[in-house]
Amino acid sequence: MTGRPVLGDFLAAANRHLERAATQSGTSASGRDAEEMTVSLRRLITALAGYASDLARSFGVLPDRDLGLLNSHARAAVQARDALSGAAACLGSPEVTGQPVSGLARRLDAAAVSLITGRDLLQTHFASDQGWRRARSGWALVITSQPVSRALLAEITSLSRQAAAVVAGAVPEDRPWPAAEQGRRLHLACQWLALAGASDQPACQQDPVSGTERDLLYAIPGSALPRRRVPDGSELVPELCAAVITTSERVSHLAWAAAGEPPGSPAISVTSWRRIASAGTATSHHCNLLLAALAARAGQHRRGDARAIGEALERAAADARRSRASWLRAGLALSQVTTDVRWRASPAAAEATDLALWTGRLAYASPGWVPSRGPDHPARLPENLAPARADVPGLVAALHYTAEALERLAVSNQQQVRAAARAGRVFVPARSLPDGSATLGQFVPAPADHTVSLLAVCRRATKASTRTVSAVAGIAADVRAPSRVLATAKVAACAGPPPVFSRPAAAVPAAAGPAAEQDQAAPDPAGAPAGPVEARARALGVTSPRLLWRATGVDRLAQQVIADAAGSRRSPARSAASTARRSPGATPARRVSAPGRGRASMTQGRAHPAQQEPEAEP
Amino acid sequence: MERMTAALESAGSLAALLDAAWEAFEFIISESGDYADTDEGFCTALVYVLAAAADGRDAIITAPSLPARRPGKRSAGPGHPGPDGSVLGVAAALAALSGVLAARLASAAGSASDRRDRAACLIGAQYAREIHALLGGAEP
Repeated sequence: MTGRPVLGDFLAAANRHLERAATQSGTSASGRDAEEMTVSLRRLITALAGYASDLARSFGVLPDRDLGLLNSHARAAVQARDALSGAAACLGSPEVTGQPVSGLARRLDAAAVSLITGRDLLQTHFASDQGWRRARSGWALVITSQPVSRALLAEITSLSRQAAAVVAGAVPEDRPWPAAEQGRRLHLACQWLALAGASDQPACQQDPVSGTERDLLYAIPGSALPRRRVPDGSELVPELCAAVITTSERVSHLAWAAAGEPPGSPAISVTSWRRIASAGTATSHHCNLLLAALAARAGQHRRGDARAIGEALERAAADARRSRASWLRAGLALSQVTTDVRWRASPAAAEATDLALWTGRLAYASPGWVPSRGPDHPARLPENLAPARADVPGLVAALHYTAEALERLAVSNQQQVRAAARAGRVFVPARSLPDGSATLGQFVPAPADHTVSLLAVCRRATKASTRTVSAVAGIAADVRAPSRVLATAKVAACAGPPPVFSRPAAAVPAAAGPAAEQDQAAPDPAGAPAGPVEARARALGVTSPRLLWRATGVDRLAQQVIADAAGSRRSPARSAASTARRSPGATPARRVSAPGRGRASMTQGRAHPAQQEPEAEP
Repeated sequence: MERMTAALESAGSLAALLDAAWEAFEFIISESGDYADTDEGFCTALVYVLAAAADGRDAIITAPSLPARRPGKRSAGPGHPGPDGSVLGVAAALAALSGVLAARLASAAGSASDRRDRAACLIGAQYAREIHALLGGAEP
């Protein structure tokens, strides 16, 4: 909704390319086609494997004997990664021979590029720090959260199934190919791809990925901040809303970064705290005015839910008013103390001031409003703010982003004050103390009661801001504002990364014997009977889960070959299109809302396997 | 209010001026905090004035020539009667006070011999000007 690229743009593009590739399959007959398809499919598999590796990163380094302890989600991620590695290995390292000519290879390439770009977008939220991934934005916690990890794995497995169906349909099985060896390798790679595509089925059957989780995945933006905007007085309400959202995003990011400043950082200064408190007070006031105006506007509408929404807006306006009072009290408390660093305003403080200006332009009637205008300045009339009912979601979204930014600022101030107090960096003017005349020095360390009360008012500002965000988030959900993904993101970030183990690791016997390993090594969570290869491996005493998974995979591939062969006998002229239709990955495109883009919907051509026509067990 | 303006205007030494400036900034902090959010309405400008006045006050404290506070002397802090009961009256009075404050500190910065006194006066003058502008005052 802010024009920033989001992951959904690239996932949807990859899906679109594979859908179009399906319409071009079945035309490959030349040796060059086979070469091109091999190169392009390998690119696509490598792109998919990149995502799977990221998902399996946190537990991929476990020793084999511990892999059996993984829960179904973690196991699916590792299995998908391993199957994709197998698929890539089947294709070897073909030489790149320039731009492909065949339409199918070009589509596969385009899908790979989309996926690579999408993964790059995710990576912008992380920095590498001595081999560890370090968060570079608040979205990092969302990306590694359980809901997003689950949704991303479902996307990757779905795309794997789709790619397998497309390529398998394009390589003729029942007539000689110019490059027989290449055809065999492509088919084998497709089998591995299909296996990767099936890896999350047990996990999804237990706990399907919801539409909300998928929406959140699609709405993840890149970490590059939108450009700073300065008002010129000509902006109309929709432009003001867009600018408020853009500025809020900048504020949120900078406040998130500021909250992590080390206690001794010179970036921590009382000047920044005070400026943030002033901007927080003013912005809360503007939110109060805007929410009250929207409540009044809702009262003028006669639709069924207008009354309930109007009441919710009134409650949110009251919350914003309380938030304003809390911020002002924080500002007063901050005027009584100082820090060793002064007169240096942080980028977060500067942007917070911008946010107060933009929200003021939205709240007041004057297009050139500035903070120096007095208290008698008229607010914008409700009918001018939201002339039509359809204008309300956009305004609520702007307020939602603003409230989120204010909460981030409150948290940032609170954390910095706490850190500075612990580091002995909070002082009071000696002259302000009752015995100030006798005190040598200009500033003295803040007495304990000063710091305690300062922290208390900062905490209250945070609480009040959180309350306002909750109220506005509820309204955003009610009016289906495009910002409602913010609430999902917050819940996801709080939920933390997905659990890895199916039971606590501490419960594992310290010196687990072979019997215990055997028990842990059960590779098929669905409880399917072991196939001949797996059974033989077990009979040979193999207990490594990874080896047993591979054995299971070979069994499933063999079953797939048999099923395909039986299908070919029944219908020799099986076309690529029919293959694609049978594949869950090639089901008709479904419209899924993508709130982060401010668009009504976004094409997403995959659905959850559990929601599809059952696929023949390979 | 008049006493503070007079003290600023009549200060015969740097020490006296800094003492009066400290009092003035403390007064502005107190008044802006009291009047920013009242039954009469919310005044955004006073919220920003609060922060600027605290920064200005901090600047004055760093001046080596600022004298120790005389025992028993009350600061113009909380409880000091405002110049007028209305927000607009307070804003106008603070605008006038900050104008004088900015002019006197800027002048003192030019004549102070100590580098740290000069810096304190310059920074203090800068924040006084900001307050003056926020309250709609003309260029001091």
